[in-house]
Amino acid sequence: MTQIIASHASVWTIMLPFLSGVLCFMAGRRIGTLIGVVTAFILTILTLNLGVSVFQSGPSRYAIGGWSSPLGIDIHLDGLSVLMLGFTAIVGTCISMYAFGYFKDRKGLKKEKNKHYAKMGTYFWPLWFFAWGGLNVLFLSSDIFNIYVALEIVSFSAIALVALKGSVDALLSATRYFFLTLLGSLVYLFGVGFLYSAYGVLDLGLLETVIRPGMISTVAITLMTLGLIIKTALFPIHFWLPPAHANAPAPVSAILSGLVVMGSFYLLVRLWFETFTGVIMPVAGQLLGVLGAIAILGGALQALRQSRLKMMLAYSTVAQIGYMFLLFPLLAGNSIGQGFAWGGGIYFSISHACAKAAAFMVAGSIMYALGHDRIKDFRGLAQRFPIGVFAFALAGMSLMGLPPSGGFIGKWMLLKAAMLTGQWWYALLIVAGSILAACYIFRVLEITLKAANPGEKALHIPLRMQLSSLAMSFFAILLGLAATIPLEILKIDSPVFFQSMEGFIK
Amino acid sequence: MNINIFDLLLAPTLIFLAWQMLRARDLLVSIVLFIIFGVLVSLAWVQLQAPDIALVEAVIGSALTGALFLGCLGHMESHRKKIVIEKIKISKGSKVYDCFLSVLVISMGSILSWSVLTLPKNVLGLTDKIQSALAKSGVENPVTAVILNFRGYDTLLEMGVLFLVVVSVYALHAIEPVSIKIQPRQASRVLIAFLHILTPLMILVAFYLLLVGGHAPGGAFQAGAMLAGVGILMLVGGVAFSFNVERWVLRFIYVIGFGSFLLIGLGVMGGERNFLEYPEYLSKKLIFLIEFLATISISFILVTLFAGCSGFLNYGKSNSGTVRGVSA
Repeated sequence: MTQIIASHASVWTIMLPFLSGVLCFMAGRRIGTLIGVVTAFILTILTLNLGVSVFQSGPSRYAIGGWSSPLGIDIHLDGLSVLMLGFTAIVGTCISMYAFGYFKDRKGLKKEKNKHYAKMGTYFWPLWFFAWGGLNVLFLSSDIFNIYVALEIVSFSAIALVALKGSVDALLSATRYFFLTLLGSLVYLFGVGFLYSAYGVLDLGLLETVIRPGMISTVAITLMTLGLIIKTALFPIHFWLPPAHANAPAPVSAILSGLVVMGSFYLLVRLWFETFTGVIMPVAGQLLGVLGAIAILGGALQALRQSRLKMMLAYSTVAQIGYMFLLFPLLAGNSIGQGFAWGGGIYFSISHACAKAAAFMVAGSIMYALGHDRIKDFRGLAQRFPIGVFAFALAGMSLMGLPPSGGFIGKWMLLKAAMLTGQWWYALLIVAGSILAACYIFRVLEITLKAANPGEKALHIPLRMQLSSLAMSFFAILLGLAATIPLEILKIDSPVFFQSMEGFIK
Repeated sequence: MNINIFDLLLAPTLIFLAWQMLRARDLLVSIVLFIIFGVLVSLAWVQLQAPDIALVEAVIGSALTGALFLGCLGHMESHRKKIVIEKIKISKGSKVYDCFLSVLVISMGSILSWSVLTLPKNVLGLTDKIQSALAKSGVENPVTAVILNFRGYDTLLEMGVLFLVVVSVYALHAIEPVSIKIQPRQASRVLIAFLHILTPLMILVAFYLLLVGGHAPGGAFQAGAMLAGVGILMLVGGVAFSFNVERWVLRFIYVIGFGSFLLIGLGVMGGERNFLEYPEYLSKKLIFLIEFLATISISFILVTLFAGCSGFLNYGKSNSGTVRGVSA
């Protein structure tokens, strides 16, 4: 454990989103939007700064209230958490810019519909900043109960965001999401209760030193894992995800599929490979791997069957979550393979956040212009809406895992881990999943390239929305071109032995 | 551990009530059972020597949640025709599926209860550390010290959750509610007479709970819920007071609990002093200030929740958002 005291900057990255969430609520829509966009940029600068400081001076701890663990709650800053913070900030800023255009009054739309968007825009900002703040709490927290509170904040704001549209579909899927995510929280909390009553500490670092294998530890870990799996929507508890993500307004879909899913996945990785390393049985990792495998194939097949773009993307999220969970069985092998599995799984989750956020933004733009997202009616989109289709193609590259994209690096590292640990069947699975992903992405792209039906009307899409989705998809590609930087950050205080990645990237 | 006859009665009653609650076909019956269940659970907390939790359970877990349920049910009944319920297919699971589920639940239940029984009994947790740091915390009640000082960060975030809930209630409405509507109605004389006695008493108790929190069970959440109870009784009774607020004032009241906590936390930060690290000579005052403002926010948020789910929100077109209740 490191004893260097982190600067107050880490507190600001957590508290700033809450502060501006409150201000957005007080200020109403117009000023709230401005506050939101400005905050997003400030947060990006803050987290980049934090990243640089971690890079230079290594991991650190910060005792909130000055009490320090076990009495108080600590903030813990290391490579993994800073990486997550940073990418949340980058994706969050692009989404904020996008939402800036999305909730504006739309020319050529009836007054009542515009009123609906105005109302959504009013509440989007406070809810979104609370979700963002909750995620930042989660990434920095070093206390299993504090993490529960963070999960609560993220879930409640996510539920309200899903219901924001107010349609029957949105309300039904939000209610279902509500029940499941609450169940997840409670099951997680149950596990926390067991751990506290058995070991008397809540801090992740302290827990790591006192936890022993045995009945209680196993039950607690199982409960916590189960709760987080429900929240991450791993097969077979994935069914709430597609309707919830597809029925939400586009910026919300991007937040949910990109960031919220990444949050609970991060937590699982943190718990399994740092706190619980000594007591996890390898067979449990294999079980998660099997569930991930089913998710990859099943999700992709379902995505192929969808007729609506947003539904397709939501099922694609189910499949991509499956890839992330391949991290768990692959980490069981030798040390070189472990490095690749660890890096690959996390890298994959980051690049999925970028790519899926970009794809959902484009889907929202298309809905904005056409008023629907039926894939079969996308003819001529490439002509009319070249920036968007280009952004979608770039994001699609990352989702399929084509070089040079972030998704490619993630999959490549996972493949390498599968080969090094002698679990070749996972390698086959990764390839098969990629082919299926290619099928559903190209199905959409093909139709957009066909000649347009004459006489179809479309609204003009604000440049702000187009450019922010393009920027997001560039990031997904950039992750493939500049992979060394995130991987170097990930190495800081990593629980798994990491080989130098330079040689492998060439 | 000495088991007395009261515990022997309480435990099976709790299980029986829970079972009946799930089995009841009438929602009203379920809710009433839920309220009774809550009261008995708070008795169980008393038996476990956790008076703070017992208070919260009685006030929030049983009374307030019960009121929310009842309000919601009443609202649904009165709008039964207006609410369009989409055809949701409720599959009548097959017997095999039912059996599978019961086996799953029973085996999980037994694993859990067995693990509870095998928990080590001599784990002290943090009790010693809390006792030794109590003098520096500014309050004498260890529970308050944990909630507002040692783990103040958690409580700050929980206040955030409450605020989030009120934002969600606003977001779920098609039109922004202007204020809380108090409908003058013909309440029964008995109810009004009852309210005249109870209201001042409840306000008194609420402030007692707030003040006593520093050295005995009590605190912002209990006090806020008690005050919310006053508000709910007034709404239901149709009794009234003048309630003139601008829209932003109402919003300000929702925010003040979380906002002031956050600002105090950031305000004490600087130099060597960390976030939420109160200076020792100020900590007692700061904790009281936080609790006081939190009480106000909590009570308004809870009343808003009740108003939201029972049709007491006013969407009137008047820009000022002024609503006047009529005195009984």
